[in-house]
Amino acid sequence: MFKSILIANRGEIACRVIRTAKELGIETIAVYHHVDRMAPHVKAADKSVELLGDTPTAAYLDIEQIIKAANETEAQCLHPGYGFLSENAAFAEAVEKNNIVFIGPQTEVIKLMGDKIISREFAKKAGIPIAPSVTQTDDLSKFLKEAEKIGFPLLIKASAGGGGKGMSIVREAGSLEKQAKIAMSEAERYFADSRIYAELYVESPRHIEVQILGDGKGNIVHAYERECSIQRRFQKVIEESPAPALSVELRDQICTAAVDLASKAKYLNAGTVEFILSPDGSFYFLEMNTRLQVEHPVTEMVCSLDLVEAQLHIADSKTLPYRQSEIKQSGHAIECRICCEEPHNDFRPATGDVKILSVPEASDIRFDSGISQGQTISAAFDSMIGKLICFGEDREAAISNAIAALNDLVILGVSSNIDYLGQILEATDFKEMIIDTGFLEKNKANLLFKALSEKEISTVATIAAMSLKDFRALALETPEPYASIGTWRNL
Amino acid sequence: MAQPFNFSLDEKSIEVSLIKCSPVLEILSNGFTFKVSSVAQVSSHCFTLIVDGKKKTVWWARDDDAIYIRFDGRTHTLSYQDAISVSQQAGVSDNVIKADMPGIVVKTNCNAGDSVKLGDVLIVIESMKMQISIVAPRDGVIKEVNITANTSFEKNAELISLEEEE
Repeated sequence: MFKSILIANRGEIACRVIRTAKELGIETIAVYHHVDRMAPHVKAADKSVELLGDTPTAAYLDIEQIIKAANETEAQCLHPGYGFLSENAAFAEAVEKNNIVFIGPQTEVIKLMGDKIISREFAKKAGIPIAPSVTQTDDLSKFLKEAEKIGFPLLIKASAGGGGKGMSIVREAGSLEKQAKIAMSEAERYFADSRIYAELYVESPRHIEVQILGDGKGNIVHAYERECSIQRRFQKVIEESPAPALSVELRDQICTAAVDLASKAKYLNAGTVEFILSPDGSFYFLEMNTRLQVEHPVTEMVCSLDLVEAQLHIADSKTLPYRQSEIKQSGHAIECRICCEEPHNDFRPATGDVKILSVPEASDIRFDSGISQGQTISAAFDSMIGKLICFGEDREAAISNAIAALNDLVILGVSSNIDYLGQILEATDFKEMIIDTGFLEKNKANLLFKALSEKEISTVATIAAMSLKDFRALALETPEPYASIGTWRNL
Repeated sequence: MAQPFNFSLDEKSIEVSLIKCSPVLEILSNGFTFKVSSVAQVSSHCFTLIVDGKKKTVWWARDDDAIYIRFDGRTHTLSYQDAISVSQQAGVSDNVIKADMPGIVVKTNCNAGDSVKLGDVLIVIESMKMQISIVAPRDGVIKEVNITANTSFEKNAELISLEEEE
């Protein structure tokens, strides 16, 4: 096994990777920008190297500095986490060139799956179902004509795209040309690549993905599926495994398709194949993510495995750590993404200091985070600061466990979506498994708390008063200076 | 009745005042009366209490005039004008806490010989119809308490003195 690892990331995923590496006795090396110098991932690592950058994000995207840090600390391998440089083929190439093992797939596979058009063609040739589509060539009018033949609604996407940028739904022929041109200019602006494609848009789709592991020689195992349909603007909010209301036959077909695709690509290490599932049971390849996913813990919980350990095992030995027959799905897990944002203010990112952090602890609750009490949440990074993952023997138990855990999760001083997540889990449609990617929009009215009544406002103020030392000094018989913890007296 | 504490929540101003301390606390808030009992501290920023028969576990934090409160699975942000910040401007030399206006002592919380920490409420006074908490200006030991509850004092009266710092 490796003696040392550099984690080219920050926040909860850096902490997550460090945890397993330490369990395996591997020396851990963190990188950080100045604003993160007191961050948990820096404290958790054995060593750390500061990265300079005009902006904090630029530091974590600086290939040259990260390679230099890895060389200077003699890191034997490098884990890219997710986001930042994790799916950057040039980065993976640079890492390998320096004789450092990149914890991820081969450079050419990153390139293949990173291009939405090429990866779709690859999937089609591998016999994986893809939605009827047309790719834009130089001739825009020909593209529009062929797109119209597929029928409406159509989804227009940027070839180099991701994260919902350059995407739009076209419902009628009349607006096709205009939308295509907007998508092209957006694609040019965000990805410096104006190529777009149009595919049949599946109404009320579900997003199902499959976790796979490959040895780079065509041998692939899967660790079953995850349901990721609870999304806001193409960003996942809640994920679970197994997918609810999915027949065993259909699940097996989807998992087999994922394994076939990864096998054809001779995929190395951990990856995820994403599919769109139509209400009629047909499913289509969406894309493949060549890295560890944010939502990997739900798979770890139901399959009782450690995917970071599996990644390190594969990178070290080029063999799979498990046989397919050894991977069993049992129970149910739900992940809630904790974001610093203001649900009542159109989910505007929130900043501030984490004054109080209290996390529920139990064997069936996992809190993966990169925050600690006293830390400042700045606008420099993504608003997702952690994930609460809860297990139950079935879906109902996992939901009620997650609701209770969200109630007990306390982050004070900066606004978060904790209460909003609780409302999603309480929603009737969620409990009854009426789920598709439009869920949050459809249930919008029920998901935000209603304004407080006069009586409720009065209760909140009463309790706020009791939190004040001055008020208690008046109200309680024990003078505050003499009172020690646990002994305020109020008969 | 004591001077109310003023909060605002969702752009609404709310007055909270103490009506009675026994047999149970009665608190008037925004025109509603609440019975509060069994107040107990769990940790530095968490306490439990019973409000009108319902037990609540409350988490709280302060950030200047913002108060964050979490109970019943919901977080609220209120603003509050702190009396301590007013009293800090009162005539406080290093060792002697003086009154900078006449008033009445509502409550004393300390005796000679007590060790106190910066910010501890030593006495509560009422001046100009305002209830003000006088807090310890530094960590130290109380040398003398020159006043008792329900007595009045004049401007510049020496209320409390602290032992010289070593």
